[in-house]
Amino acid sequence: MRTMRSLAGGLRLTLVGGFLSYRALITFLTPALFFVMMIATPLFQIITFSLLGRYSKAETADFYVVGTAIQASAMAGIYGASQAVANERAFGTLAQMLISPAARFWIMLGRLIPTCVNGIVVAVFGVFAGWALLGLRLGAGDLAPIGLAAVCASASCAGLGLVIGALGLRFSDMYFITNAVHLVLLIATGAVIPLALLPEWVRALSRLLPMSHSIAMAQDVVAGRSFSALHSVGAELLLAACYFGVALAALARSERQSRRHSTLELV
Amino acid sequence: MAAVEVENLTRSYTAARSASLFTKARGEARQAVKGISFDIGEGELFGLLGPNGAGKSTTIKILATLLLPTSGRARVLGHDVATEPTAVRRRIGYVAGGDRGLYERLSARDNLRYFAELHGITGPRQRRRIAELLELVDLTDRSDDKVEGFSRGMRQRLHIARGMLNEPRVLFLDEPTIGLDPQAARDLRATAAALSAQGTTVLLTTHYMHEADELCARIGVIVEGRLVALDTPAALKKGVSDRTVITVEVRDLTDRHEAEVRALGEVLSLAVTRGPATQVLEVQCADTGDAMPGLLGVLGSAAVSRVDTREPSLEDAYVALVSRSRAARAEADR
Repeated sequence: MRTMRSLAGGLRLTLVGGFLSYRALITFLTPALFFVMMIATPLFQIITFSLLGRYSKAETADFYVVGTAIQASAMAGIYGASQAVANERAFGTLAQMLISPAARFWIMLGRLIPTCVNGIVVAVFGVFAGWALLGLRLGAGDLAPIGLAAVCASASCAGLGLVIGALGLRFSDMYFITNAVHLVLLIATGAVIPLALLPEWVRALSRLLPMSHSIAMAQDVVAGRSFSALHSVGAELLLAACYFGVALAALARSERQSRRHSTLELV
Repeated sequence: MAAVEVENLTRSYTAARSASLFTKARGEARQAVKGISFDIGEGELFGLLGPNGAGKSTTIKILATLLLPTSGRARVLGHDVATEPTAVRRRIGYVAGGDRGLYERLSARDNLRYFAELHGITGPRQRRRIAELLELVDLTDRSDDKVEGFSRGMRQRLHIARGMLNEPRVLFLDEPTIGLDPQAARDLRATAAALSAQGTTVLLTTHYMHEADELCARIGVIVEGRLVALDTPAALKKGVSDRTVITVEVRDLTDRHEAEVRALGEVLSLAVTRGPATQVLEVQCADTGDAMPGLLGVLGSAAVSRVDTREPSLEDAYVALVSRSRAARAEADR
């Protein structure tokens, strides 16, 4: 009974607290910034790389359209989730979070879910824009696996964003990391350059990066190739869980270090 | 059982330069708290006074589980702050002064909602508690406005409401009246006194002596990390009852005047307040008759506009304690 109450309390903190913290901590939630970062930038990215890819003829046009549409959610995952953690320090609210008795697992899950939903919205918008503007051919049966790919890509990307955010509590150069990671995710996940054209070490790296498994699955779907949803979804969700675990460990370490060395400049 | 127990508490800092990806935080090591001990009884309103940087906030942060002690021990309601932080956190409230520490984009109500969620306060209890606290700090009318438009006083009142959300058994108030207008500060003092009367233990730091005098059952004075006095306000004042305070208002005070006043044999301590047009010297001395001629002689060229004498207040006791402690330290260092 106590476990059930504790679970219900944790889920409530994740959903209600997560929604409130998302509104409180994400800096791009003004209409103008949201439009630029979550609508305009992904749209131009999809159009640019799809047209470039089409002329390269290395893959079909649909390959690039769907790949860049899923990859567009990286902006929400990387910047959103990292801000959802690191801005606690920037806004001076970290001390109040740290002296609360709430389990860090639920707090962090609450930071992940809204940014994940944001990423899904961006990816779905990207796929729709690709269909409407760039002639992406989609069958009715393609929608479910592409939607699943968007969900998994957003989750693992937000997981990596949380890791960066937890590091951002400790280091002042967080945007150096977010910018670098965003570029790496553009190049090394197979969205704009087919993985087969990349060096072996980049292919190996891509297997550990968020999104690459989901992007590959979406590209297989639109190409009509056979794919293993279980394998792709499983790999992506495993990555999401690993990143989430690393973020929790990094937060716990930051908290310990802070109590010992006063490193988080709490109030 | 005491609500707060502090035994030989020390805390060293490495005054950190901010860490970056490529550099480690480092700086000079400094001992902020040097072996202090005190207890606070349940329901007691206890004041911690001291100059800036004396170690008051560090002590509160240790008790609120934000910092670990370097050595010594501290317990809140029987729970060790170092080894049982979650148990302590469930039972305390912490209010720090200042503009930051609130979510600017959220309304006052949503700020309280979020912190209530962090404390597991939900449903009708959450709604009732938030409404009560908004009423208490007089923010009901602005409860749905974003905090980014709030004045410093309104933010401070919201900080206070947040600190009381979980109905803490021990409340740490770190300079809570900073930025409040006189009426709001008076209301806060009344709230703190009422909480104490209802059994909440309150640890208050403040620079306002009248506040400590009015509220606190006992006061600890920290100077340079050491607890130099611990007693009731009346007993602290009694410690300087053999003194008289001469207040001299002048218009042209220079550093030379100040040094010469300090050097007078009859002067036991001196505090100077500099205003835009005048300067006020509060001189503590054992005997007015002995001190007055020398004092007026030294300040003759400083354009004296007013001279008063009065009995010592808590502020005078505090100034005497701080001066005495610093002088003893300087002597020991020599």
